Amino acid sequence: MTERWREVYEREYPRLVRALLAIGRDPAAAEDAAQEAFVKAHRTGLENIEKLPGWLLVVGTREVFRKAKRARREDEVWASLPPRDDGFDTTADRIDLLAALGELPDRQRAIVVARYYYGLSYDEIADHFDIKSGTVGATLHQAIERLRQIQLAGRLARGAIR
Amino acid sequence: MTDERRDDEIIGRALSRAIETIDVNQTPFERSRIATAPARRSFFGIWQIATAAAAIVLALAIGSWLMRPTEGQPGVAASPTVPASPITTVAPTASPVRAAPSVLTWVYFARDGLPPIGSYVDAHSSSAALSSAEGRIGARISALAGFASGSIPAGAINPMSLVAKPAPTAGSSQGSMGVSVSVQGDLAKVEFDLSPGWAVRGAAQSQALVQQLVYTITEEPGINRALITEKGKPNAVIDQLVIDKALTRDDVSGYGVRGSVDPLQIGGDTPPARLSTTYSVDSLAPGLARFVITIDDGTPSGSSNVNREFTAALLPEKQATSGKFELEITLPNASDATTAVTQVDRSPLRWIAVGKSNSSSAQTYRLGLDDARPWRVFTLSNPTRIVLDIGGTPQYLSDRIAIYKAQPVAATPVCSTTCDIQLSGAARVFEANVVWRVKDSAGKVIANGHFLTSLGSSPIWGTFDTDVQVPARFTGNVTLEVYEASAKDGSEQGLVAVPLVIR
Repeated sequence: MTERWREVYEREYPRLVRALLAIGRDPAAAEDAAQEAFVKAHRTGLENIEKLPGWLLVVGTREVFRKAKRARREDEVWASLPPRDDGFDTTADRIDLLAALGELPDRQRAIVVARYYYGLSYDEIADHFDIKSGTVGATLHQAIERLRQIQLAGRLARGAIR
Repeated sequence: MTDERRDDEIIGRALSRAIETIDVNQTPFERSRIATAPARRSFFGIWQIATAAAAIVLALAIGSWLMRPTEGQPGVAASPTVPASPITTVAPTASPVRAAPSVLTWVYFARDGLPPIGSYVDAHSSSAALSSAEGRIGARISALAGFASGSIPAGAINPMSLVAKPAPTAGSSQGSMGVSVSVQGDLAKVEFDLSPGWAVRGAAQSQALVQQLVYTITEEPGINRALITEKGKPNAVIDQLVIDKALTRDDVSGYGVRGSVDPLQIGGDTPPARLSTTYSVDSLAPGLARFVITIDDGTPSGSSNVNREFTAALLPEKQATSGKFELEITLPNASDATTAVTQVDRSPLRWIAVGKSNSSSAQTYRLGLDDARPWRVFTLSNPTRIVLDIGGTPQYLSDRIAIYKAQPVAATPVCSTTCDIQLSGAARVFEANVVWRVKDSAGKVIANGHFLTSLGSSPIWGTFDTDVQVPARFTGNVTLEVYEASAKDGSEQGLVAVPLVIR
């Protein structure tokens, strides 16, 4: 049993932390939330969870938002803005994209990560995040459109989009 | 797919890759909360019911929370994380202070007898310098020049560290070592101001430097050619080596043959299949990246026939922010449970993207590559696998033969009856027949023979793993030559020569 969990953990944990970090922007909270998600999955039992990756993402995302909400109340933690840095080709593109992602509303951020990083289908996203499947596509498009607008257009236009 | 949807996908994929490069603290399983938590399985029934219910509530709660109107959020200009490669030591939790963060940039180092190998290094340049293609190219060269030690990949050298560094000169597109860069289309012109000269000696060092520079300069997205000149001259003379034209990576990679750009289309059966993949770089042979697709289509084990439909094609990379080419493999009526993009960043393999192709029942894998080095496909059975091998040791490859390993089998004290040379690799030759001969240092043939590969006369390569024999008590330098004898006139085709020492 432990071996099974180890395997699942080693496969899913890094990806989950990255996704939660992209969604929540707080490394400590992302780790904490990822650990909590695994604890909940462990309690629930592998046999009771269909599609574990998506399940972990949803539970972890909720943890991240819960913590962020509390943190916002307690402290203007987001007030201290990280420097906007003009990066460097691929590294710059990544920084830009992640920064642009950070400017999206919570809901869009979570859905974008679920779709493009986790590769969940529209139906799975609708299902997991309890929204109408018809709105997933529109929300994603809206979010990507905003990503495009925020800064990266110029940079990606040079290298990635032609 | 509409253009709009495709554009969305491109950004989505780039984003996915960006997320994948976030350096996270990977708490080992032993220290995870599930491993350290007290055993709860004894409360089996209660826990299970309670938490199953909780899970549903959680899912609903998050849904409704996500659906509520977003409140005014303070803008966050940049992620507090520093994207980093797996080898970096930059902390993922860089504090949000206004000091310029160290920016990691991908540059290349040279290897003896092998194509360059990329690695992330710190670029100590101002943000302003990095906001243009010219500035970034200059900064990469400066990073190489200043990178005397540190985490150079194993077996690699940094010829650029030998090049003398005159004082920085002013100018918007100039780096910190008298480098002027200008970009026109896919060409980057890089002019070096080096009054003391290049300071590299001999053909090997000069070639290594040119390789390193061309790969590093063309790392900039959209740049495929590099023209290296010296200040006031139309060319560059590096020791005996005269550079008077723009060079691509494939001009300097060292491979005598280029990766085929003809799409490979293999017919066969298409029962529904589940796919999984693995990859390795530099482990089977130097400079070789291997990508293996394992196919579970219900074929009973023991069946030795692999007859699966697939296509593979090498294409210029247009979408990604790293890599110059991509190898795309598509299998109809098959699916892989994972869809993430993996940032590999181990030359020549930069990334692996897993996705559905336009016809949604087909599974597509895309491999981002540094260059168009030769590649080959072969199949293995039990379990059914499609193997894509990219590159290898340039000297040991021809258009039809690839030697991965050639090694005299150790014998003590000397070979008694015959000496064996263990030989493995792949070949695509007529009727699977490969010919070999061993020559002594005077060029006299001391042994010869032939062997069969696993498959012949097919666009799919055959593999071999065999021993060839050298006469007993022979010692000294030999050359093992492996080739195809032309079916037409017996002439040697695709000859590969491997120097060896028999002790």
